[in-house]
Amino acid sequence: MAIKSRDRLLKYLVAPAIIFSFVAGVLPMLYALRNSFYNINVRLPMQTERLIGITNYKIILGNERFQASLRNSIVFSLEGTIGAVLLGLAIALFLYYFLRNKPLLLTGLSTMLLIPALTGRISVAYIWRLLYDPVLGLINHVLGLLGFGTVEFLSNSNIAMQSVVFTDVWQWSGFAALFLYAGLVSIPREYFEEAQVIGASFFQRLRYIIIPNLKGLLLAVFLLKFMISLRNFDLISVMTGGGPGTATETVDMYLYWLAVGGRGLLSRASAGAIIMLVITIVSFMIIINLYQRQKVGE
Amino acid sequence: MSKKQTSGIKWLRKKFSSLLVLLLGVGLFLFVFLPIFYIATMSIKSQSYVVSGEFSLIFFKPSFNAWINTFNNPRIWTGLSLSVRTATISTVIAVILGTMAAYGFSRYKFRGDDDFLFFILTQRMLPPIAIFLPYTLVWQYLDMIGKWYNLLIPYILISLPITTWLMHAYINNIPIELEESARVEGCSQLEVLWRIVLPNSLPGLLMTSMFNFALLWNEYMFALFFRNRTLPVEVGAGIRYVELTPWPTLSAQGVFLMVLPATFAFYLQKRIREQPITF
Repeated sequence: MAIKSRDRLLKYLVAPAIIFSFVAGVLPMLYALRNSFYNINVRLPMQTERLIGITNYKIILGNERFQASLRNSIVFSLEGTIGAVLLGLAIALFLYYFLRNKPLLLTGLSTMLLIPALTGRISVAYIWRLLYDPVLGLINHVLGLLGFGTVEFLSNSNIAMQSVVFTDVWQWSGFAALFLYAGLVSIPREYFEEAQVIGASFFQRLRYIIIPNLKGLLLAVFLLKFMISLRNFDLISVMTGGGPGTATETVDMYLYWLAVGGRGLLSRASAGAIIMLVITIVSFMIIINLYQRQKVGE
Repeated sequence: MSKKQTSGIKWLRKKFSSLLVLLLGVGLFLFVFLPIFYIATMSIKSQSYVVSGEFSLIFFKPSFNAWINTFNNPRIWTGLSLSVRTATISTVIAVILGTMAAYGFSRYKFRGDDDFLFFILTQRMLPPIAIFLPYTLVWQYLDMIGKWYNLLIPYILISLPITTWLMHAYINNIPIELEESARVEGCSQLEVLWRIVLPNSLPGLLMTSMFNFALLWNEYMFALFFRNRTLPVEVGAGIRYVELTPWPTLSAQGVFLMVLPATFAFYLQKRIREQPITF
C-alpha cells in the first residue's frame, strides 16, 4: 500500500518535465517538419500556404552555401570538441600529478580555469577579437617583437576558422579538465601503486590505467562539449560575422539569414534545420551507442 | 667520486623536472589569465592612447572613461534588468522541474524510464535554429515578438536537460537508506523529499542553479532573434562599428558582462572536482 502511493507520487514528479519537453520541444519540431514541405515566406504574409513536397529539400541540399555552412558547423563542432577534451585531459593530468597535494594552488588554478567557461560567448568573442587584432592585438604584437609579419587571424579565410576553433578550445578546455580531474581522483590508488611496482612508464599508465578508467567520463564530457559546440552562433557572429565571405558561416547563421535576413524563405530554412536535426541526432546516437557499449563492458 | 657524480646528475634532473613543472604551471596560468587581463587593461586605457599606436601591457596612464561611458549608458541597465529577470525566472522554474524529474527518475523504476530520461536530455541536442524557426511563427501569431516573456519557454527548454542531468547525477549519490529509515519512522513521501532529499542535495541544487544561471545569462541567439535586448545583446551590438572600433568601451562592456558568472567559479570548481559526473 505504502509502496503504491509512493510510486504514484513519483510519477507526478516525473510528468511535468516530460510534458514540458514534449509540448515545448517536440511539437515545434513537428511544426518545423510540416513547414519544410510548404512554401511559407515571412516577407509575403498574404501568400497562401501551399504544399510543395520535397522541393525545399532538393533546393537547399543543392545549395553550395548551405553545404559550406554544414561543413563549417561540423568542422567547428568536431575540432573544438576534440581539442577541448584532449587539452582538458592534458591539464587534468597535470593537476593530478603535480598539484593534487597542494590544495591552495589547485583551488586557485581550478578557479582560474573555470572562469572562461562561465564567461559569456560575447565576452570571449571580444577578448579574442582583441587579441587577434592586427593593430591592437597582443598576439600580433608579440609576433612583431619576434620578427614575424602581421597575421590576419580573422580576415584570412584560410585560418579564420582555425582561429575561431582555438578560441573555443581556450574557453572550454579548463572546464573539461575539471570534470576529468574528478574522474582521475576516483581511480583507485592501488592501480597506480601496482604500476609503480612494475615500473610502468607514464604512457603505459595512460594507456592501461587512465584511459580505460576514464572512458565513460571522457565520452560524457565529449557529449557535453559537443552540445555546447552546436550553439556557436554567438561566438562566430561576433568574432567574424561568418566572414571573410562565408568562410566561417555555420548552419545557424546561414539559415537565420535565409529565413529572416534575406528573402524570408522560412520553409526552405526549416528544411535545412530538419536536415541539421537529423545529422545531429544520428551523430549523438553513434556517440551514445559507444558510451553504452563501454558501460556494458565495465 | 662516481657515486657523487650520479647523485649530482640526479639532483640536477630533479631540479630540472621541478622547474619544468613550475614552467608548465605558470604557462597554464598565463594561457587563461593573459587574455582576460588584456581585455581588463584595455578597458582602462583611453581611446586616444589606443589609437596612438603605443603599446604597453602595464605601463600606461589609466583612464576610466570607458567605464563611465558604460555606466552612463541606460541601455546597459535595461539590458541588465532584462537579463536578471529572464535568467532568474527560467532558472528557478527549470531547477524545480528538473529536480522533481531527477528525483523521480532516480527512485522510481517504470517501463522505459531510461528512455524518458534520455528524451529529456535530447532536448539539449536540438539545433537552436530548429527551435527558433517554428517558435518565430508562433510568437508572431501570438504577437509576442519583442515581449520579454517570450524568452522564458525557450530558456526553460534548453535548461531542463542540464538541470535534470546534473540533479540526477547528484541525487543518485544520496544513499537511499536515509530515505528508507525516514519512511520506517512514519514520514510521508513528501516529507521525505522535503526533509531528507532536499537538504542533502542542497550543494547540488546550488551548483545546478549557478551553472544554469550562467548559461542563460550568457545566452545571445534567442534573445537577439526574438528581439529582446538582454545584456549580451546590448554588449554584442557594439561590434557593428565599421569605422573605428571603440575597443576600451567594448572591453569595459565585455568585462561587465562576465563579472557576475565569474563569481560562481570558486564554488563550482570545488563541486565539479569533488565527484565525477556521468550520465
